[in-house]
Amino acid sequence: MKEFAKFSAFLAFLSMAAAAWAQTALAPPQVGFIQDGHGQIHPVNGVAGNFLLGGPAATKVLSAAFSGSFGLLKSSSALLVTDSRGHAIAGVDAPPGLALFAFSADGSPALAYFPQTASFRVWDGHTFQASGDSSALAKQAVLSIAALNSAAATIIVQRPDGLFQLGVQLSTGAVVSQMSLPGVSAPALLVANGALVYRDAQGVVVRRPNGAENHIAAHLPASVAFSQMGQAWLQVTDLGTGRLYAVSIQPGSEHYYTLPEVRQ
Amino acid sequence: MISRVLLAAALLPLSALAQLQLFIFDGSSETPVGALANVGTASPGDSVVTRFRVRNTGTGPATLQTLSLAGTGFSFSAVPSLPYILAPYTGSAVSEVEFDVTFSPTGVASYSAFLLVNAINVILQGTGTPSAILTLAGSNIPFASGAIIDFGSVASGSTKLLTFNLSNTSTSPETVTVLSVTGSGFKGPIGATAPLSLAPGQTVSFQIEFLPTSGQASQATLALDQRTFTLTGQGLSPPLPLASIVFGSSVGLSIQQNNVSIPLAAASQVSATGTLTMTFQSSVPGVTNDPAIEFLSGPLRVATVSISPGDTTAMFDGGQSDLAFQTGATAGAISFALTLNGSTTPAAEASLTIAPAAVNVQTVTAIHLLGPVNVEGVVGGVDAGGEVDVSIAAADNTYSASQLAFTFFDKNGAPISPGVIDVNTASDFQSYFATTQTGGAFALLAKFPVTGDVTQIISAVVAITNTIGVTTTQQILIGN
Repeated sequence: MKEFAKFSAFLAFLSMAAAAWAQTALAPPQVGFIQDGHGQIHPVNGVAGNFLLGGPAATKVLSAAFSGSFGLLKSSSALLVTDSRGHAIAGVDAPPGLALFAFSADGSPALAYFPQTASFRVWDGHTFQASGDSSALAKQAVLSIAALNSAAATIIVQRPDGLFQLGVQLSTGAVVSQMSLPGVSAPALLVANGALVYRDAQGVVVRRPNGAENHIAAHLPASVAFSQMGQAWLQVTDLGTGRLYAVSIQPGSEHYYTLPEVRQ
Repeated sequence: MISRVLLAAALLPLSALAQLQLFIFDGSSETPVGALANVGTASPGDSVVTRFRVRNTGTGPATLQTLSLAGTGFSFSAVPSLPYILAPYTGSAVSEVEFDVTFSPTGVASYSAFLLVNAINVILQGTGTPSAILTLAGSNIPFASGAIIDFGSVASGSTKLLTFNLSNTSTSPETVTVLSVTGSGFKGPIGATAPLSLAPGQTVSFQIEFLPTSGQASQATLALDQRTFTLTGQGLSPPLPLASIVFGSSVGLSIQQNNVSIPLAAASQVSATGTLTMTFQSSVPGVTNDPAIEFLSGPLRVATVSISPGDTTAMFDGGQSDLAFQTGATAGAISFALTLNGSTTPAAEASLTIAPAAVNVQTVTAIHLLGPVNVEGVVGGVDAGGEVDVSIAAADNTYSASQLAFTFFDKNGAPISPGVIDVNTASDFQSYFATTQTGGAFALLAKFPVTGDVTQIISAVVAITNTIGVTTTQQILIGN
């Protein structure tokens, strides 16, 4: 009887809410942001297969990644956090050089890694804080990073005998675990939902956290780089020509697309 | 008295004679002609032309009324109409007139002729000298020096060979010291090289090849010792093979990435350049363009194409045999026109019709947002109210979306009261489509405030109606 009463109450409340429903919003759909070969960030609107590139939203960017909810940008000396529209909402000084980024599962900022100084910055919800000494990673060729939590990260490194996935304690930079990744070749990208994306001879492979793999057919250029450009969207950059491509890794909607050329 | 009259009569012609002077003019300088003039040598079948110039050197006008030539092997080839009045000499051309005498020996011998210019008598001498006779293989007609040998019309990229014979018809050996071809479009001589000795009665063959590389006329010179022959030929540009416009997918759908290629009916023998132009004609009232309809590289809707000899497909910039484009999110027709070599008449045209379609829903996500709402009457705790947010990314290529219908389900899969929640959003969509720059693509966020245990709402189904039909999503799980 209690359960019934509770359920009845629930239905009544939901029904009222439905009758009062009026909050709708229509907007251009946003796929994400891409970084072009000139260090400019462009919004990508539209839907899959129907992309529209906007004008530069930021310039002089060395590294960038976007989760759909937030963006992380690295200039020569600063690390910026943007909202989903590309507006800067936080910024800190940063070491020189490129950066690798990681988001939390909900798309919020999590981690930044600066290969030139082998150092991490951890997002505390408001700003990026320096982590402990990570100089032990200085000799590692780090390809991608992911945040396990505020104290630990997973990184992928390139070694002469292949790719390895390492567990790193952020406070000390100590490698606490390592696992080889047989069959996985660079470029490889860790995604916030736990997926690992890499290339194979037929295109792009998405290895889900449960080990299942999705093979996305693509005629990839010889030399490419992966980065996250939106929620379940990856940017593929042809390092030879600068041409940009997009990969949807949304389960059930995996596909490889050509992005419109960035026209200056 | 009689003798005076005779003397005077005899002096008059002398005076007239003194007015005219005869020269040989070689094009740059003139040589006075005496009683004997040598016009040079020529081989049988050849000819040599000598230009004479008559000048009135007197102070009054003179009339050239007699111009005659008597003798085998000589002929006039250019003479003025007689009588011809020559003005008094002032240093200008009006006191001069020219004529040509052609010496064409028929054999190896010495030739002479009488040339009479008014009262000026000149003996012309010429010599027929032995030389090899040039004929086309299969022909007995010798080419005269200066003859034009036409190779006819030959397709660009093709070649035409002519075989020539050099014959010594004399009774003594002959040596050809010069045998060469100069000029573009011709190659040779092939099969014979100077110096070339020809025994009496001997014939040597050689070939000359005409190989045009364009649709232009070509000209070259065949030199045979002192003689030259003009080689001519007309290059022909063969027509481009028929081109067609082919789509990677012939199915016209919105929000697709397609590609276009231009196969040729055969391998091209010629080069060409042109453009492939894409245009869009919307079938949605009031909508004239969709910016997402574009080529994915290069200029938005104009692509440069080129065809090289041997190509079976026109190539786009960057050496691509096809070019990707987007079909946008607006119903209508995407048309392509290929123009080549500056022509305004399309060499090929094709169109992809994008039919009006029901709303294409790409992604639907829904989440619970928990709120701090206490529910009265619930024993033992607090039910967190909140809201359910439904996000939709979709495209309506008719711009006519109007009705939304949401149905929420509980954990047993049963619809939650009140069942289907219909919402008329026609005016919202009209306002949006009137201002958007993304064609028919849209993102919709619908918020459902909930008081109660929002987590008991497990899944949802959304239906969107436009003028073509109703699109209903699969049942989507509502996440947290």
